[in-house]
Amino acid sequence: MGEISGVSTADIDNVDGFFTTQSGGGGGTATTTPTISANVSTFGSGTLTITNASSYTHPSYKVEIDAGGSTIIANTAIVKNRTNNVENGTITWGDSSSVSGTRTVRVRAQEFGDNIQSSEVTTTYTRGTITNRYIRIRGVNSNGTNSSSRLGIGDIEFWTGSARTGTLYPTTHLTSATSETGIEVSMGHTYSSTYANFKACDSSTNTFAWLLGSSATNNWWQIHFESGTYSTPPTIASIKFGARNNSANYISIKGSDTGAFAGEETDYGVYYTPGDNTTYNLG
Amino acid sequence: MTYTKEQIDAAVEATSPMCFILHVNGEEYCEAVFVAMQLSHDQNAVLTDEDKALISGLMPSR
Repeated sequence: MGEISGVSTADIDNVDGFFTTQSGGGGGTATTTPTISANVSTFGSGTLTITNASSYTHPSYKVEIDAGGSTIIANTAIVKNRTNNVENGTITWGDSSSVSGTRTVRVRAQEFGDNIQSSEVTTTYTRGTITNRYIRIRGVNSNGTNSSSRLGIGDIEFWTGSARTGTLYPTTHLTSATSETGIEVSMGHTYSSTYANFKACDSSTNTFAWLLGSSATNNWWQIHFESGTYSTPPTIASIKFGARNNSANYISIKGSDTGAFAGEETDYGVYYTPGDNTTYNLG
Repeated sequence: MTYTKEQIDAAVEATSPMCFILHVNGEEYCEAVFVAMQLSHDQNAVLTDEDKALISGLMPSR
């Protein structure tokens, strides 16, 4: 439906009887435009914090994300966190769209009972890439601090294009940590050879790298692009993380050119990976 | 995954019948049972002393 009473539905504020930024028919008063702050990681895992909606009793937020002239993430695909069954203003999403370019996040606060909504407020972000010799995945807490909740990786893929396009690394199914020339995988803790590091990249979905008994310090897995083969490491634009027996509710992704991870590394964000036997497409 | 009787017996022995029943019935998740079942499956009912020590450390305190 493009118009109502001659007014574009894109500007529904101005249609009588619908949501309005003016005092509504139900007696409510619109809040001022919400204040938003966004924190978006390299691969598009985003958290939006909304404040300044206090004039609503039970605000409900409509959030859409656009890129390339169309909506790439619909309101229904965005997670509205709740407290006591009421939206609390913390909103999260994962952006694995293949559309390139700057993203625009559009937000409105609505109160259905009173038929009022705020003016639209927007913010923007762009997804990034990783170009490092070492890419390390670590089990962490939600704030990024190290966690002993063990990693379990059934399948991990590194792609040069967004949304798992372009070239896939490793380019072969690994049969050992060094079976592919120029690539070495490793992890901070090995419980047994049954759950060895390369099993995150082998040909079977039933085998996995499992850091059983890991500590907060050694709970990591990494890939190394060796300089003898890669004069410049490949630029990674998306990662597929297949969790298997994974207890780490969050993972961090960091990159280093020395492998020291002693402060020289680049932080590419924290990602929510709560499901076991679940695949997470990052970027 | 499917399990043999021997694999299940080994997992129960390494944990406890009560935890095992609560876990498999979905009443109370038990990390120790989860790990014991995976190890018992992958090692065909043979749990080492290291396995048992790890599993014991994951048992809930009651």
